[in-house]
Amino acid sequence: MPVDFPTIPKFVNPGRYHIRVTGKVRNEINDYFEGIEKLELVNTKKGIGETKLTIHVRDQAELIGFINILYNWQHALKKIRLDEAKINSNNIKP
Amino acid sequence: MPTLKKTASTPTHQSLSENPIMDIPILHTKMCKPTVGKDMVIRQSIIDQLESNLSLPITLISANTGCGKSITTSQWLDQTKHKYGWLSIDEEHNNAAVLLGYLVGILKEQWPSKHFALEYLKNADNLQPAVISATLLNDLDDLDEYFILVLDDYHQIKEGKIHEIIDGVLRYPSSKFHLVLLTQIDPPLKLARLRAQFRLHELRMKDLAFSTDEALTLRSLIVADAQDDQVESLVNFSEGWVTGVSVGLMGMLKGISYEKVVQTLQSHGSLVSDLLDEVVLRGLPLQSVKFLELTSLLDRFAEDLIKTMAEAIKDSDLPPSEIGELIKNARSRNLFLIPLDVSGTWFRYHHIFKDLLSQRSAKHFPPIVLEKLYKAASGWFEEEELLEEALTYALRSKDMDFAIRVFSRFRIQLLNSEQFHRLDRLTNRFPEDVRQNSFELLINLAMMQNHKVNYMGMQQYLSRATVLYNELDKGDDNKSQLVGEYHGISTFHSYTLGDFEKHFHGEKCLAILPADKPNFFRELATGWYAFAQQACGRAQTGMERLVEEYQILANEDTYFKMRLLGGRLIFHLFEGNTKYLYPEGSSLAKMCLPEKYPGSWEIGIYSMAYHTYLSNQLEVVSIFQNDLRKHRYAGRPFWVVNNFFLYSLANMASGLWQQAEHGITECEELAEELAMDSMKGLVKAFRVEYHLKRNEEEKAVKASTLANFEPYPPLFYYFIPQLTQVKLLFHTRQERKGEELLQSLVEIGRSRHNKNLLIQALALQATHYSVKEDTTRAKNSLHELLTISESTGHMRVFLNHGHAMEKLLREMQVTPSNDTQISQFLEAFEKERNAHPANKNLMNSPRTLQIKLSGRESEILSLVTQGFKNDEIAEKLFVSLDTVKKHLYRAYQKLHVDNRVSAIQKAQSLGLIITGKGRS
Repeated sequence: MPVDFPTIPKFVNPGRYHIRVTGKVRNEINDYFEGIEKLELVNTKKGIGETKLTIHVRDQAELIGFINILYNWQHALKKIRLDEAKINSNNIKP
Repeated sequence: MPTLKKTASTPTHQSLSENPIMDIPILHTKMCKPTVGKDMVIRQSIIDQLESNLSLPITLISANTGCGKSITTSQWLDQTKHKYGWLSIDEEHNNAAVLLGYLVGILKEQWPSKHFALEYLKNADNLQPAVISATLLNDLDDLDEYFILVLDDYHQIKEGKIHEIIDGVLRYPSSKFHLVLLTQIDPPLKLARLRAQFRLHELRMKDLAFSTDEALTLRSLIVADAQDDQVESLVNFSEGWVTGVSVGLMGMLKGISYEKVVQTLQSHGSLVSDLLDEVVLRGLPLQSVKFLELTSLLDRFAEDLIKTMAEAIKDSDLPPSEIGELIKNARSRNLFLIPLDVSGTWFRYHHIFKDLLSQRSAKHFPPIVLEKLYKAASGWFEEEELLEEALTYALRSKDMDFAIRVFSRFRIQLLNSEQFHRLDRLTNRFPEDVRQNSFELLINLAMMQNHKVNYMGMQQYLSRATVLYNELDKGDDNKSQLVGEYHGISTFHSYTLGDFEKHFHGEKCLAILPADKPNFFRELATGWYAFAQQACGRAQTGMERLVEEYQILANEDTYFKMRLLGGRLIFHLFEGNTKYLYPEGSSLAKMCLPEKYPGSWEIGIYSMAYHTYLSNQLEVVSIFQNDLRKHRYAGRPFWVVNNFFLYSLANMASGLWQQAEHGITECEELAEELAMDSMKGLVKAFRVEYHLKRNEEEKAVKASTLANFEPYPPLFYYFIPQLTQVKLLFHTRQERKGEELLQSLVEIGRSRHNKNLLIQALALQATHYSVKEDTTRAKNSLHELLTISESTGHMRVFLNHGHAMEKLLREMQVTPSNDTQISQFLEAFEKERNAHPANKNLMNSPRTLQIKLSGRESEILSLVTQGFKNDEIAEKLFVSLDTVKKHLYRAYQKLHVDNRVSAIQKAQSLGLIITGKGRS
């Protein structure tokens, strides 16, 4: 199912997310979303590829929109992690 | 039973209109922007931003619910000088046809007299997105003024096709158009490029956040008792979230302490529900709470509708007389009620509020009460002729028998008015298991397969229906109509199987369904029962049956007159009575506007084209081509392509090969768009015919791999793919197979009294045997052909067989009995030759099509004709003697001869070699 938007806004500030999904994400993703900082194909032992992405989003609407695109392209979400360091520290390079 | 006709008591609001062109029901309230209340803060800086970025193709407003996206945009539209349209998107807009119906409705509101190409894109759910976006772009580019289109709640769109359409529009945007998308989630559109080019204006949650000044203005508008610093903290705690600030201030207005409000705002996860409970629901009279819970069951509501629902559950707290007052209270208390029209008839709740209330309603109302409420809503919408919504609430009631009963009350009306696509959509809204277990739905699904020419599918649905039929209580009066309808569709099914003597179904249907009440199932049975009589050689009885059925009623009711004419025309097409086709076809086409009865209109114009083509009035065959192109997605797709085939055939006969080819390409595109496999195969078969006529054997063979030469048994359409298959077999040297197939078609034509088939098959047979110099058989076929076609006027069939037919006719002319008839044909051949002297292909007979010598064979035969011996030819052409002999042997085989003299004579008579000057 597509990710449902929560009723209550969780944040309105930009954030960096580390996402891991099954399958190889096509390069076409860049036509839809330009906030991808890193896209890396990971070959698992089973031979089913996975993709690790690091993205920068401006708010929750953009994050969920991005995850929905991945879902529509049949990539199951395996992990999503907010880069707290990026938010909390001023010293992190952009 | 609620009537489906509008009555004088119908509310005056324009809640629905039938789009005249596309059979999509339009709800006007979905096209109204939210009304801006007096107690709302005017967000001028955002409005200015929106106006100043109008030159960009798109504005994306993406933010969580409750940020004021819709209201702020609505405020902007109140100030702009440009024309605009608004569409509140919901689930139904995931269907491209529905979305386009609304877009046409929006454009028509602004430009009522203008025609848009979009109007004619019927059945758009099957069209390629690129076709739709190109059509939309062309329409937008054709506007005389700048136009803003707002699509609210765009996140409701889940269908990839719709996103592709929007992507297409944004790829080459019109300079007169600005799109505004309001969404809670970023849409899956290719926006990165637009962002990079600075052609996307974006407003996000942060941009929409309330500033302290705006919160202070709101405080003064709602006269809340809060200090300036309290307002400022409220903005900080809620991070400027408009709903948070509004609800907080309203809470304080109700006397809730500032500390409590802030505490609630800080506790994430329960903010809205807690505050709503505290602010809105607590302290409200029970009557108001019940009212809110009841109305939250509806996607939109009006006073009359709620009254009907309240009456259904007979709740003493909700007396119908007080509903109007309750709506007023809800508005004055600012209970997130959004008016959907200027007259204040229709409303909906803000999403947050509706979601919360719905959860409460589900807990509050026991299932049995919920069912009653949904049923009452369904009944009300049905009376208002809002069929889609009537079915929506019927299905929500979870009582599938009830939903089927609702469906059954309007399905015949939709069938009678030939709204096949709409009916198909509604039928498919039932869950699969319900469809497979409902006799009524199965009959309907079988009927839809007739429309799609999917006889296999029809067979499957009817098989399942037959199982249920056997279990039916036949004595149940309520089921008798369904039983009649079952026999009605079975009548047609029997015909497709060739069971012409099986009158059981037809007689049953006609005995059960009343004659004086329009019912498409009965009309179908009447027609095919009569056609079955005709197929059995009882043409007169069949026609009498048809006339008897409608004659009296037809004098009084246009509907029956239309059905009578339609039936008669199909009868004439079978019988080959070409002289009646034009006048009766013209009457039918005039009587049935393509917007109202597209299927019948298509029969009318087909009959006219058929007559003009066969009587060789080629220049007028395609006079309706442009009209048909406009309405190509309406009515019955197979009538549409067969009309196009006639236009192409007329172009081929006139030597306009390019136009003919263009017509075929159009049909291929249509088949692709409608995603009908049977039609794709049929169109490919027609392409084979085209290549054969052009003598392009290789291309014909290539096209034949995808062709379906038997999408349906030989019917009444002029183009008979089975005959094309015969021609292809002749071309590919599978003569015997071709002859057998042709003979079987002749026999089918004879046994089924299908003159349309018989005349064409005999003409091909006569010329084929003539080419083979099997004179006896050729003359036999021609004799039968002349006898049958004496009164039918199939001139074009003769002309299409070119030289071979002309030669054969000359040989037959010696019989005085048919001299006049033959003279007419020969005269036509002469005219044809004079009219198109340059176009060699036009007078091609099957002979030249069948015998094709290679370049070398032709060259060697020419030299033989000039008197050269084999060794001399070998020397002349720098080849070995054996090679010359080999080529000659092959030429003998192709010409069906066994010596040089016969080969020369035959090749010369066929025009296969050019006679040289001789060896001297």
